[in-house]
Amino acid sequence: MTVEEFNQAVNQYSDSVYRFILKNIKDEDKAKDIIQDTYEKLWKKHDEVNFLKVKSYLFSAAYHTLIDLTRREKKQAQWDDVDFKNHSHTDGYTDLNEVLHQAVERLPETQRMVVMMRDYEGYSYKEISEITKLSEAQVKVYIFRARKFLKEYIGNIEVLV
Amino acid sequence: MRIDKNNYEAYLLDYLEGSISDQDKQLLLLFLDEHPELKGDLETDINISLEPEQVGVACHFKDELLKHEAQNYDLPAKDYLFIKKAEEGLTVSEEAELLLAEPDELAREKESASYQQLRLQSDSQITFDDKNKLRRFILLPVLKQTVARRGIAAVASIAVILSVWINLNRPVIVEPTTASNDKNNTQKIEAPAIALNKILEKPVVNQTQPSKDSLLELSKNPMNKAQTKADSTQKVTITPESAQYLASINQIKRFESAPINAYEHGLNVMMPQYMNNNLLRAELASIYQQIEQEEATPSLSLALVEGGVKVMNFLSKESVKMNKYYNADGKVVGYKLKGDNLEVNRRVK
Repeated sequence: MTVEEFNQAVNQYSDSVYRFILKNIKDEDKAKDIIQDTYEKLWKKHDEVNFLKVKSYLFSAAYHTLIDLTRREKKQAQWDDVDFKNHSHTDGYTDLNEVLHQAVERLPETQRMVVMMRDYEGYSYKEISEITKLSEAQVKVYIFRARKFLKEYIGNIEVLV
Repeated sequence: MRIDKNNYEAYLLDYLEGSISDQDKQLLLLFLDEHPELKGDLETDINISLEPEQVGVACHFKDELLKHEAQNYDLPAKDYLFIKKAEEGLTVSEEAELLLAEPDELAREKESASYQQLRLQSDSQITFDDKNKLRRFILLPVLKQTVARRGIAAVASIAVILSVWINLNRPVIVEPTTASNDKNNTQKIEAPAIALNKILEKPVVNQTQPSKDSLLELSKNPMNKAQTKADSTQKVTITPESAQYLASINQIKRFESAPINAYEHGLNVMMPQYMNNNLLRAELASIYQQIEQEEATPSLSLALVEGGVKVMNFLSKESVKMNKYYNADGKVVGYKLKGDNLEVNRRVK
């Protein structure tokens, strides 16, 4: 990847990567630090990275940085700990997307990130598995479980619509 | 092939099923005639099948052994099918399975629609503003280091050669001439020796610095210039050898000036002295005066330091010396303390 392509990667993907990071950690300063770090990693390996794979590389670097950060801060929740009934929502809402994002914040870290990659960026299971280094089947399991959780959280979706 | 007791059953089964050849049939009947105790086998009923009940028991166990894809996800089969439909679509068999799992068409459509709406939408208003910090730039090697070094060396060499050449071919310097208001004076200048004598007779300004006391006196009484002026000038006597040497110097030798009147001469001689005596010294005097004032009324911190030094000197028999530093305005900017084993320099804030 040339310097010009690197700068192109900044223009094209920094917004989406930043959005992905920010949605996961809810801290603008940390998000900026992570994106700087992510692009710094890319710059160090820009000779080796193919421009066609640069988006996946950026998401992969950001994902692993977030995972490390979460592990350090010991905030990662386990799927088994999620209690659907306790998280079920009964109040009235007007904006489905708003409620969905509230629900997403309650998802375990990995589930949240794979769902975001799937919905925000439209990645396939295979691409997500390459980014996260999880198996394709595992990615699919996380996404299906996350969908189930979101559905349970929102409760009766007719109230929202 | 010969039919015997070990293989006759195979021929017999073909005979009963009607698939035996005529030649084998003749051989089989001949064999049975030779062994009449086996003729009863020709009446065997071959239309025997298993009872259907036995198959039913096997199906019961099969259902228990079957696994559903949904079990991989720890999800109920119905939820799994709805999620899969929203995610990637269902196969024909899965559609049929969903139909069985949720026979009510209205409920099925409602559930399916609710899963379809679980897609997250990114907030496009969130953007990263500091893209400039991430961008990189290429530094083009316009000039290689070796080329640059050679270029600098060449330029330096040329500069040295030029400077030498300029010095060797320096044009004649115009000597300082005395100002004159007599433009019609075209009289030939005097001979160098006479001019030299006149120069030598000129009083030379004393270059020694005035003492502090004299400056203070001057600052207190600026009009009293007579004595200072007398001190500051003196006649210098030069031996003929020195005078000859001085005359041989280019600038003096080529000195050419028009005769001037006494007023101009006096002005030319006195003006530098006046400036030296009155302006520069007055400035120095004012600085000394400020220093004196500063010493008379020192700042609190400096007074404390000075007091401390005095105490130390009292106790240690004048072992500590204190020097103060002043700026151009005559204000104390620092001080230095020096003792037997100690030297301290401090700036005054």
